[in-house]
Formats: sequence, structure tokens, C-alpha cells
Amino acid sequence: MLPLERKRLLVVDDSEIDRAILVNILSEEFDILETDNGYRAIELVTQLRHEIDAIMLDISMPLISGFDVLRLIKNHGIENIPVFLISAEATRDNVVKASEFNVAEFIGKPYEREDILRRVKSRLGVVTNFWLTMEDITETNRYITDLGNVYRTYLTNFERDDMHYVNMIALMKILLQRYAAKNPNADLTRDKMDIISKAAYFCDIGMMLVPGKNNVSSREPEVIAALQETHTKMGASIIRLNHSKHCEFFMQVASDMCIYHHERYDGHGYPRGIGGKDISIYNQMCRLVDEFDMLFSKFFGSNELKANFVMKRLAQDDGMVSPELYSLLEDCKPSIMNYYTKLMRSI
Amino acid sequence: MGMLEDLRDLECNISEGLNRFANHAALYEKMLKKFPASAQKLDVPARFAAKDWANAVAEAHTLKGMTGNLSLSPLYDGYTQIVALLREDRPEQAEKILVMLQPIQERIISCIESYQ
Repeated sequence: MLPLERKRLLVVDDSEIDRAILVNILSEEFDILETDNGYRAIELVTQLRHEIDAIMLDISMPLISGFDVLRLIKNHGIENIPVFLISAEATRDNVVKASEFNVAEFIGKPYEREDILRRVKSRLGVVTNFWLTMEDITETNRYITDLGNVYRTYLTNFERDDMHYVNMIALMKILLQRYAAKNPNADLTRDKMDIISKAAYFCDIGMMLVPGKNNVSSREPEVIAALQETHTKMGASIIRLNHSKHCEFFMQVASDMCIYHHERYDGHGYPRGIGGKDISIYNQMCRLVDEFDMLFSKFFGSNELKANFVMKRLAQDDGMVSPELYSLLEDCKPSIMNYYTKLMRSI
Repeated sequence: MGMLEDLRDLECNISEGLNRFANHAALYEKMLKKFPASAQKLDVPARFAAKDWANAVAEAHTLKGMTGNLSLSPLYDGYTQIVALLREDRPEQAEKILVMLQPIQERIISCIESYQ
């Protein structure tokens, strides 16, 4: 594996001109392999699977389409290389198809040099420290508001409210504040904690694209299976439809939460079965607060009784998140109970 | 007058194109010189004549991408409209745009070829 600064990308596009332009843009920061042929791309990926960090793949190619390339790569058991799909239009059809695969983003034509470099670098973790400007925060909150309105409309159409996700935001804030106090090097400003908390609200937004009538409350096995396998990746696709550079921090955090909020620390989660430090602390927190609120809302009794019961129950599942998060949750019990008490009084 | 200036006179957004190539004018010109041969492999008017709409959309879409990346703006705008109209199932309107676009494309290709 190359050093962090020089990752290797595979560029696949049958158009010599478009491919040359993209290679020229990317070679500023990355090492490049290129081919004009989807079949040759499959050969390269299977031969060099541990040496390719991402694939830039044109959807429309004459011999074999980009989606068919992805399907064949998946059949070879290779699913964890991020793919940037090159398409002029991120249509609903393409977004849905893309969710079957590890598609990181859509790249549109004509190429915008700075935009492509920023997005690819961000996605591959080359730029991991975000410094948020006022414009970033304003535009991000505007995007969150708009996206939230769409999501709430969807939930309302299926006679659900968003209370669970509102509670997740509050619980995330409590955990993050405590975590930041204990980990001053974590680079968690108040604005970042606010955005990370709000990102948790959208962890299940991928359900909007899962087929099936009334899919939210369905108990049909095939719908449940579809929900489990695809809503994670579809959620990330929805979040990433926004291409504004000002929203990049939120999109990175929120799309990761969509994908990883059902993974487990012990590696027995889905969709990818990753574990340990491969799941960021914020994604693990999202999982923890998701489970906490679901259990807390189900049981009866005083808040203290419920909190004790739920924490004990979660702690029994010791592979779900890292051990430090169970301790963190315990530390936050008074604040959590305070939140639910105020919530009950306001209802 | 160089090729880029001549193309600018034909309303191509050369500044945008240069930015895409990080102001590497020689590389930009090299890619522009590939355009005539690439464009000639695609025959959108023939697809229209044969009412082969699937391939008409595919080829217009390819030209849209290519002309966009080369900042051949009048062609990019034209093929963008053609693709949109074909997708809306309005081939007659798309053909009107194509008819207007052909002489512009010929002028741009002639300009590029004069520097080869």
C-alpha cells in the first residue's frame, strides 16, 4: 500500500479525451492506472485489488457498462474498493443501482478540477481535518433543514414521526460533549459536535429508496432483508447528492453514519462486517444511541429504572461498540435522564 | 492569433477550459486536436435519420461530455438540449437543435484542423 499522500486510482473511460482530462486532474495528487475498457478494468482490479485505492468509472461505455463492471467485480468477491461513478446525471435510477455497490460518489461532466480533487481526497481520507468556516456552517444547516423536511414528509406519509431521530440527536450531543471533555485532542468544536449530532438523524434515510409498499412497518422477510442490506448504502447515496464544498464535513459524517450504523465493533454487523477501529467512534456512538432510544422507548417505569435496565441490556451485548463507549454512556446517565424527563414534561 | 483565441472568437469558454487544465495550454491544445477524430466516430444526424433514438441519445450524451470537458461551449449547450429533448421523447424539437448545431460544429472542427 502506497503512503497516505500517494494513493493509486484506476480511471476507466472509453473516451480518450475525457479520460486524459481526468487523469491530468488526478495525477496532481494520485498515482494513476487507466484503461479504456471495462473488461481490462476488471482484470486490473482482480490482479491488483490491494494496490488500487479507488476506481473512477464511467457509466456509459460501449463494450460493457460501468454497472456491469461493478457487478462482475462484486462476483469476484471484491467489494471494498470505493468507486466514483462518472455520469452526467445522478438520476434516481442510477442512485438506486449505485446503492448495490460500494459507490462513494457521482462525478459529473464537465469536470471541475478543484471539486473533483477535494471530493476524492476527502473520501479517501487524505484530508481528514476539517476547519469549518461560517459559510460552511450556514450552508450545512440550510442543507440539513431542507433534507430534514423531505425526510419528515416521507415519515409522515407512512404515519410515523421523527421522535426517535430527534432523540438520537440529543443523545449524540450528550455523548459527544462528554467525549470531547475526556479527549481534548479529538478536534471537536461546538459546531462540529452540532453537525455530527444532526448527522445521526439521517442514519435511516436510505429507507426512502427501499422498494416495497409501506416498507417502514413491513414484516415481510424479503422487505426486511432489503432494508437491512440496502438502506445503509442508499442512505449514503442520498446524502451525497449534494455537491457543495461547504457541506463536505456533514456529508462525510452523515454518509458514513448511513453506511456504518449497523456495523459492530466485533465485526459481526452489516453491510460490510468491518469492526474495531475501522468503525469511527462517531459511527459507534450513532449505533449506541439508536439502540438506546429504541429500548428506552419500549419499556415502562421511571426514567431511572428504564435507564438502568437499558444500559445493563446494552452492556450485555459487549461486541456492539467499543468498551470505552459503554463507560461513556454510564457517565452520561444523569444528563440522559434529564433529557428524557424534560421531554416527558413537554409532551 | 492562436487556436485558443480563434476558438474564443467562436464563443468557446477558453478560460474555463484552461482552468480545467490548470492553465496548461499545450495540453489543452493537444486534447482539442483529438476532438475532430473523436467527433467523426459519432454520427448523430445518421441516428436521427434512422430514427435510432437509443443510439442518438447515447452518442449525443458522449458528445455532450466531451465538448463540455473541452469547453466547446456552443456544442456543449446544443448537445445538452438535444439529450434532454430526446429523453423527454421530443425528437422533432431535438432535430431542430441538431440542424442548427451542425454548421457550428463544422466551423469549430475546421478551426482546430487548421492548426494540425
